[in-house]
Amino acid sequence: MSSDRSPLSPDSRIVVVGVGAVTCLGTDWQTTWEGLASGRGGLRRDTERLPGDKFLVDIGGFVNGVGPGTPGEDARLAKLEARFLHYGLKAAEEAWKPMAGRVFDRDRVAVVAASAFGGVDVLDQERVKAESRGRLNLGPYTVPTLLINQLGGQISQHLELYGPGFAPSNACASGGHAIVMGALLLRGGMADFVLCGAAESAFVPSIVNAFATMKALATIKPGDRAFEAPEQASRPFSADRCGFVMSEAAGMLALTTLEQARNLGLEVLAELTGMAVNSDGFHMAAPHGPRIETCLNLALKNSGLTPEKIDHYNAHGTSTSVNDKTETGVLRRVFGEHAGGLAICSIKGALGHSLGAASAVEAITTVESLRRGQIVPTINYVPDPELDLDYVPDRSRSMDIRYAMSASFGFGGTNNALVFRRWIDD
Amino acid sequence: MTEIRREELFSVIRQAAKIPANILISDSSRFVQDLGVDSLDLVGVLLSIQDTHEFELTDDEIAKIENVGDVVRLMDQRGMKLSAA
Repeated sequence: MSSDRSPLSPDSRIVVVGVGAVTCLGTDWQTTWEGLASGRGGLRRDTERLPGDKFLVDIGGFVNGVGPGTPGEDARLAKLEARFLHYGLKAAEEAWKPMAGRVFDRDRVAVVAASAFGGVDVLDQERVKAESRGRLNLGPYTVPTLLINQLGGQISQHLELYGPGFAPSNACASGGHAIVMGALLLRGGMADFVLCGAAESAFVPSIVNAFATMKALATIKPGDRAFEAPEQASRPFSADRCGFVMSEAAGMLALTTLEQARNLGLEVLAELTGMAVNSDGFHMAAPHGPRIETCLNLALKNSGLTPEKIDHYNAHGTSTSVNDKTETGVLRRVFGEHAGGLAICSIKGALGHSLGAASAVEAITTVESLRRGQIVPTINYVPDPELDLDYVPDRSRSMDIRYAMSASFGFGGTNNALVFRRWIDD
Repeated sequence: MTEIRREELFSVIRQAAKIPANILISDSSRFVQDLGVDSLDLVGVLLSIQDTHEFELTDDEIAKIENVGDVVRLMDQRGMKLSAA
């Protein structure tokens, strides 16, 4: 045990003290976790959100019960109809709940709120409206709503947090990048607390159909098992995986230093012991195994750990042929003989791929897995002879987890890896 | 002369600027002070009114609008008669 003691002082140790999520499995983290743990799939066919005359696919992961137009809609966001703002604010409020009633300096709270596509839904809606009325004018809220940093702006406004604000946009790695940036702000002394994570809703024809044209999306045809059972459309690491399934979500984490958490008597959910971000410098869209491998190794090094210390890996696992093969190869190389003993899961089987938000929700899942000693399953899995690691198929697994890693990779060749440690107050 | 119900105009204003139901709208309502409409909201309100009733306001006219009655008057000048509230 003593070898696991952190060499860092309490003002440099980063801990998670709050989490919040909005996903297609639930409008809070608890409901989402219960869905994941029970092996439930959140994807469905929705021809109202994805009508056949506008979209090339009709299956996705949709949030219900939060967002513009839903009963009891958040009146504070009535003018800002972009869904990512509604989801992101809801998740931020949930993550910030442990701070209720505490005394802290609001000028020392940073908000790092990421997204890949921001308010494209409003941009699309306003463009269509303008065309239909034969005018060139778009609504006055279009620009402020479209901006990715508006999410941080709304969180700052509604939660009254006035410290540094950043809006990383790193495609499907955005959420993980936001967490890294949040931790750096704490270590750099620029903030005492950070709300960090990401939100996404990009169900507009131009984006969905462009992904489909790239052959990145699962296009489910009659005869496919998901044609009758849409919840099976996303199947990470599975022999019949055929692309990712787009979804919408938000995930936010409240981070602080161990020193601040102790000062305020906050419950620590897990410790962020290591992190890394790097760039492929290789291709606009294809993942690059060697650099992803470097990223994972850097996160281990940053954590001061040897590979065999990691018990669990929460994968990027998109359900595309190329990602899952590349990621499995990387894990074999980084973890060597230990790769076979690593319990790997991808929650994208259940939640689909929420693009920028995915890695934030995955980081939260990793934290919860450490807390509970429970790994949620990779659902919809059929073994692929080429991919022979332990993907924790179908059912949750209880096991003693000390350290876990979560990683994500984005178009543009950008990667991150985070290492979390089960919280033991030492 | 086209006749338009005042309630219809008020409803367009309410919807465009998301004005809560407990705030009453009348001709004398000032957009900023009484209805809580900021300059960005006002652009949206006027865009919605012009779209709904198919007319155009000039930039000079827009710059002088302070209350709902100003809009009623400009509509009246274009042959749109607003029915009594």
